Amino acid sequence: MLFSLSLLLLAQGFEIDLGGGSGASGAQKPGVELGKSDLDAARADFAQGRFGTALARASQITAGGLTGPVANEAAILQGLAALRLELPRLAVLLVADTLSSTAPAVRAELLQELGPLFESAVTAPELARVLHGVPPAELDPKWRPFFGYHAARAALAEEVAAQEAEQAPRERKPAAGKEVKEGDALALEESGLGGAFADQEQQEEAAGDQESKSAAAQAKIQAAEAEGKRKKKADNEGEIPRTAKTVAKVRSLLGLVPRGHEMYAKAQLQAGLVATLEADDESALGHFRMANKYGDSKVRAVALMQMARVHYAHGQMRAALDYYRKVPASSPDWPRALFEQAWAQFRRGHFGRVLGILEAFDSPFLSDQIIEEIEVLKALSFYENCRYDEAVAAATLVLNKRSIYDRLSGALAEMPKGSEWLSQFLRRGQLEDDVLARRLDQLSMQPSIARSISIFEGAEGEYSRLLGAGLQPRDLSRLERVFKLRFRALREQVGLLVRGAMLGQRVSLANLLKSALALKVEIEEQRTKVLQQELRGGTGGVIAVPTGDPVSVTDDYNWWPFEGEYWRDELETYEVHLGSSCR
Amino acid sequence: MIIRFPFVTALMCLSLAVVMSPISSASAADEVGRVDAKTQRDRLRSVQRRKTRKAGRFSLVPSYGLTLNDPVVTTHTVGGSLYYHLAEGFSFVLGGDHRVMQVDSDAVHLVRSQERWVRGEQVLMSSFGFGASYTPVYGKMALFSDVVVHYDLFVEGRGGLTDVEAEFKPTGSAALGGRLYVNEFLSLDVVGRWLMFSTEFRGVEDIKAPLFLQTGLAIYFPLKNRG
Repeated sequence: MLFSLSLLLLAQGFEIDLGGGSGASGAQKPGVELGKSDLDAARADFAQGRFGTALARASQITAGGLTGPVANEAAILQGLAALRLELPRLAVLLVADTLSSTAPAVRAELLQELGPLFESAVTAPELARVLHGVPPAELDPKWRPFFGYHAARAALAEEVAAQEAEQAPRERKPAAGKEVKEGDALALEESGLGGAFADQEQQEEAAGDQESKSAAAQAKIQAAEAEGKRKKKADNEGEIPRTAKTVAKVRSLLGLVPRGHEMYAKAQLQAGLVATLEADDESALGHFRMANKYGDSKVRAVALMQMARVHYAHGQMRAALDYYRKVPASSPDWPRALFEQAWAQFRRGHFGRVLGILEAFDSPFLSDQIIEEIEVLKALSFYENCRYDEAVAAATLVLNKRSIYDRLSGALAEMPKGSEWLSQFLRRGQLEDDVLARRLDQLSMQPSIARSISIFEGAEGEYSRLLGAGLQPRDLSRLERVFKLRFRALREQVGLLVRGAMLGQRVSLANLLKSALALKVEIEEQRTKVLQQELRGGTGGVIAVPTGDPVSVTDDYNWWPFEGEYWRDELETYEVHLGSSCR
Repeated sequence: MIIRFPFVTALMCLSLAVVMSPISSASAADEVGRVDAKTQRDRLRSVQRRKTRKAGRFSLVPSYGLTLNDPVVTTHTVGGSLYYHLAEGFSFVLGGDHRVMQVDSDAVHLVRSQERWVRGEQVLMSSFGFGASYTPVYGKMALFSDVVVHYDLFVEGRGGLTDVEAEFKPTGSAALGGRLYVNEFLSLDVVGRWLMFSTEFRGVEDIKAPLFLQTGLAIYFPLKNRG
């Protein structure tokens, strides 16, 4: 479920943190009234409508490293001036560090003017982060629901990220029979793939043999016991667990979104996620249903995916499939829904459908999708049907991705800085390295990355406009001092998001390679057993036999033979009739 | 535009051809006892549920029609048909048409003497009948690879009566039509229908066989697909 949650949050996106939540306004130096005269001058410029000059003067105060009330007021003035110059992203950027530590009376006007930024899907999440620490009561009632929703989402994203870090290694995708373990992400990251492959215990675990399964189960029991002890200790000491705190905070923020508000459906989605965090799937389904009822097509698609995942997690595959099928093909989530359908069909034992669905990913309609596990699922499906040659071939295809893994590892080692990755991302169209270009292209489809890049580019665009606004050279050099630092930090932050995503891909690829290798070993062992059985003259059991013609379909169905041509409307309906199988 | 027929239909046509063929029995006999390697291969197919499922539903088709095979006079009709679909491919139908307008061609005005004859001839006022419809072909076509339209082709036979200036004549009709499915409760129907009835004009018996082109929008009841 946590994996589903992470997927959803990834799909919905989390944005760059401009630092508003950290309260990091620098070390509080003893308050000196330095810059007071500059602030007065800036105020005077502002009052006379010279917003560019006011912005430059106020920037000079904050750029000097000054802190305290004067610096805070200067930052607020910067924000106001930027807003008057119609530079909303710069305004948010400028007040990010100081807004929460500024006195309510000082920031009131700015808060009033920042409100409309909640109307833009790009600026709203960023603004909500910046407003971290500002009581909702200070906001105009009109903007409180927006703040509640976006702030709740940000808090939830942080909680999920924290839990993921805590819970690695984890099992990502449950499957009947042979499980694909996603393994120890952090260990892999540290030791590299070679190290992971050298670890015999991990290989055995991934192979899913009985012994390793029981060892894994034992480890889980121990982990659960340890968690229980930790919770008990926390309860005894009166400590409130972090998750409970986050849940309470998120719920209170979501409470700011009334029924009927335009953010209500999205808030229900978040409420559903909160419920899944608490393993309260019944409530989660209720919230997702509300989101599905009141949301627009995007929200509905996400709600359907979540309902499907809840049912999947409970082993209710038919219900899960019903919801997956309702995700419209126009939704960006549809390819993922289709792939998850394949897993659900796998768990139902409908291997023909699994292979048919996976076939759709070879079509030109889905060729831009990078879903690494496809070949593993294919290998497992063939293996379950005693089609060892095909299973080995599919597993080998996964192992051939080693070169991609190596390239990603190399690139990550070569470029440790975020800014380097941002630069690669922005010129991905011109990259000669096909592996990186394709992967970065894929990343550009992730809403979180796309939004952060859009924030960065928007801020840069606004800065260019500011520079071209005919300011005095002295003002320009003042602004340059401020923004040079700000943009360097922003570039690094956005770039690190890209790098983090690439790192995630590398870890997931490493796990996949490990699973594929283990699977290949298991298949080869099984094949040896089959050969022995065949030598003894045995049939059936683990030997594939001809299955005959496919069964006919009922009157209300049509079946269309595949003749090398993919039809968009058929992508979800392909099925492979296995000519031979042991099932 | 790409058009495809379902495998079942193609197989049916092929089977029909094989059955009708004089050498078919010999060919079939050759196959007996032979293991076909093809049956062991994996086959990929798309199994799709029909977009509009008709079995067990009614459809009402208000229609407009005009004659195509009379070079002198064009008769315009409005009418309607009510179908009960017993299965996806078979239905019973009750329907009729009524003349709303008759347009003479320019030739009639040019030849005054002909006009008298034309004016004097008995005119079809309305017709109605009961019959059955069979749908042997179901297919789909892709427009610009994005919009996929499902269609079927059907044949229909009806028996009934035709009102020829207050005289009811026994009538048979045969039709060939197609349906383009819009959604689960709507389809656009286009039908070519031949009526056949006898008339008598100035003591001369004649068989009339006007060919009508009819178009209509079929509405299926209940509005939702079953199942």
